[in-house]
Amino acid sequence: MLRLLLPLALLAAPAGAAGLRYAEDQAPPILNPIFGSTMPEARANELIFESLFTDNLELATTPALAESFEVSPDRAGMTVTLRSDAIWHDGKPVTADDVVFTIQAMKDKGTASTEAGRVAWIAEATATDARTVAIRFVRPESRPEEKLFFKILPRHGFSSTVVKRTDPFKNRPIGSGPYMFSSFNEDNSITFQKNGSWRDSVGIGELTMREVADKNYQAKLILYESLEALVRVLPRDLAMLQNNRKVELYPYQTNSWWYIGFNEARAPFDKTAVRQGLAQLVDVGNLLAPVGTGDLLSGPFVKSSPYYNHDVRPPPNDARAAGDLLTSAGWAKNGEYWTRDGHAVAMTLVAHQALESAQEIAVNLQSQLQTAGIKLNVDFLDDAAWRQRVWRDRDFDLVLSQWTFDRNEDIREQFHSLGSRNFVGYRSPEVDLLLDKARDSLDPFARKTALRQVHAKVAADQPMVFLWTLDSYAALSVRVKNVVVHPFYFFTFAPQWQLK
Amino acid sequence: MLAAWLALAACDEEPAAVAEKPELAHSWVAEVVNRPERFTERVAAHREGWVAFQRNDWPAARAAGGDPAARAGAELARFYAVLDRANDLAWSRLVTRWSARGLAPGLLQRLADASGPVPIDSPGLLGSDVPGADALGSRVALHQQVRAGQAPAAALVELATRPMLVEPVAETGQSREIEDPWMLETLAMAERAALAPATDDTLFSGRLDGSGGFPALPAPVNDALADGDACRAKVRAIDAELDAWRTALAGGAGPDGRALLDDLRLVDSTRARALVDMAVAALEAQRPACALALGQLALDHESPRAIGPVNSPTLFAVVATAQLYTGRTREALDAIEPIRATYPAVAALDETVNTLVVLEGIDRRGDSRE
Repeated sequence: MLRLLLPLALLAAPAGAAGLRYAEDQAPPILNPIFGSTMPEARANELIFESLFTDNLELATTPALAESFEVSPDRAGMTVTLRSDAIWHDGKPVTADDVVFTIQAMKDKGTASTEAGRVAWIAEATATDARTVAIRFVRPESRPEEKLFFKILPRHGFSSTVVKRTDPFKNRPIGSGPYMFSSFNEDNSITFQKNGSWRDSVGIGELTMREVADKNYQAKLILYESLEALVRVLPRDLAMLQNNRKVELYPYQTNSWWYIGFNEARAPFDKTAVRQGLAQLVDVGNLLAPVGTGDLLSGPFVKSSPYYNHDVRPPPNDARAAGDLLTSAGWAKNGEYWTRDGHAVAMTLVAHQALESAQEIAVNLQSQLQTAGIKLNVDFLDDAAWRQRVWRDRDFDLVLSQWTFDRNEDIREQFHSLGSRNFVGYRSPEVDLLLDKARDSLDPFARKTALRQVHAKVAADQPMVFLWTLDSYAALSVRVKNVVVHPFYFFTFAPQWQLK
Repeated sequence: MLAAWLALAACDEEPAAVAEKPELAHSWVAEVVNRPERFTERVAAHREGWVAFQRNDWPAARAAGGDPAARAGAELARFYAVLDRANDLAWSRLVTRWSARGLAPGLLQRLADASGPVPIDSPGLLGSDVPGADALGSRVALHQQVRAGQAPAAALVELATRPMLVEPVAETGQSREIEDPWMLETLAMAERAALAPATDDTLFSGRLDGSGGFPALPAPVNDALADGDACRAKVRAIDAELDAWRTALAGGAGPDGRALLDDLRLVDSTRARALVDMAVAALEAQRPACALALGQLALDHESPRAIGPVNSPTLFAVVATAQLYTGRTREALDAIEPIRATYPAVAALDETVNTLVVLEGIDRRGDSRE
């Protein structure tokens, strides 16, 4: 009932003459970029916070909070001078201390930042004066400014460099970006107000993020002019929106792929033959059909990626071959059901409740595995349970989810044995070496080769059933002008948008 | 769709009422819908070729001979020319980045110095002291033969999916695979040289009126964002006319005409062809933001990764080129991917852009989210 009422309430919302309303499947639970792990958080943080450097319209690196920088001749360090007109939303100046604090907080093990990997290359940061930061690198860097894209936090917003998700900052974030956090609202929406003190003009006075959990309603809401923007359109809604003259579609690249991950820390998924066998029981094309059109994948990159290894094919949907693999792992078919150590095989799949189409996919997968003789239980988790069970406790057998990458398509955190996002527990010394080689290589040909080898090795080890990539489209009202969508952070160029 | 073609019989339908715009009433679409029997006559000689051409399957259309083959040849010449523009840009960026990054120049730099819009000078291009000089000499010679009409373009295309040169790199223990920088230019030249006039050059074209030509581009705006918006607004104006026209056509057509209108997606595909024509003109006018807007609006979003009646290979080529011009190197790969399978010659461009993408991001720390 709640799901029915909510869209009706949204339909009744007043037209956004002065503001732009956009939909997210789920509101970000907190607004603190140091803990960002989801796309809704990344998009909201892009409005509120700034980094030292950012992308310009041509997606080249350009200073944001930084005014200038100088790399030492030995390339072992750099100094960054901050803009003199950078101020926090509460009126205090952005200082070098804030930059140092952010780096220290991200590196502080007590913080357990999901972003810690983004500052791992920094050995030390010190403030040499109010506007100058000296950064020393772990090893020489060629273009360190390319790595200074993480968001800067205000030191005065925290009591120490041990930052917690539960710190009060999460509900009253202070940034320096083009929009200021205004309010969390009762309907789970978030309102952002234009930062009148920002260095450049900001075209739209107010932005409102509306949580519309049922993605089926999002397209209708933009057609009824109850929203001005959808950040991602369901594939099945594309035709309807394409033919509507009040809305325009903006395709953009998200390097996003879906997967069913196996918990390798838990038997029987620690056995490669089991993972391979289960993968061959899954008819991926059949799972995709109700979701929409997309490309089926054989590994951890989208098909157009420079790193996609086109010589690797997705595993076939082959019950006989799957049976051989499972038998080799000690499983036995007892009548219609697979057994292991004398017990019928049953496993649990977890998925985030906000994951679009997750229910259709899970039910379809249940049916496929049931037919093959395996019982699958499904748990849909709210955000808190997801963080607890998947990220923290790794309490699952299978996980259905998706990863979205920026254009660097850096899968290190997902597949390196030390990766902060490797909650499936994949471990391969060979892949670790290749990922290290890819990260350290300055030769693009060598990096390409190493990551194509990673694709092949990961596909063979099957820590996941790699599913598909879907096309990403934003939909915006034709009233919104000057639209350029950033392919990952979406709102990077929002200050230039105009609402007519 | 094929059923509509095959079931089509001569009939005596009266011409339908036409839309408000008089030139639309004289377009080939109006004739097909209003006088299906005339359409049957027009496609009779090379029906299979026209079926392929309507689907933007140019290799099949060319194999069928006649007007569809001539039209497909012209489309291919333009397709390769657009891609060659992308290739020049990708090579130029690659070499600039490569130098800025301070990497050992090697063959890449020497090749870039030698390549470009001018014809290849001599087989001894890089001198005899480089690895693979013989292979390079053979490749250059083949290019010259194809350009002179002394060898078929297919001989070059056969080599396209393999790197032209493989340069060992002592420091990494690996090798650099270097693609043929002249492939698309030579193919564009070969296709242009082989152009044959088509008797029927309007059927399945983007011409929205009887006299030919596509809608004019809006006046250029000296700001990329505004220029993109101006071109989007132009498409909205075109769409408003086409919507009314579609309704009028459907209302006035007989059953056969309506079947053709729907099954062949005549208005959608004509719109897409017109927008692609405009986008190519925008690229030539150095208006990439406009070209990108037109290309994105032309795309059939229901099957955005497939060549079909709405999505022509040139549409993907235009989008890829415009993406490169606007700094969206990674996005260009998305547009290249759907044409790579059908057109092996695109492999060289694909790998070059792949390398450029990697180089552009080589100092960055990636970001990923759920």
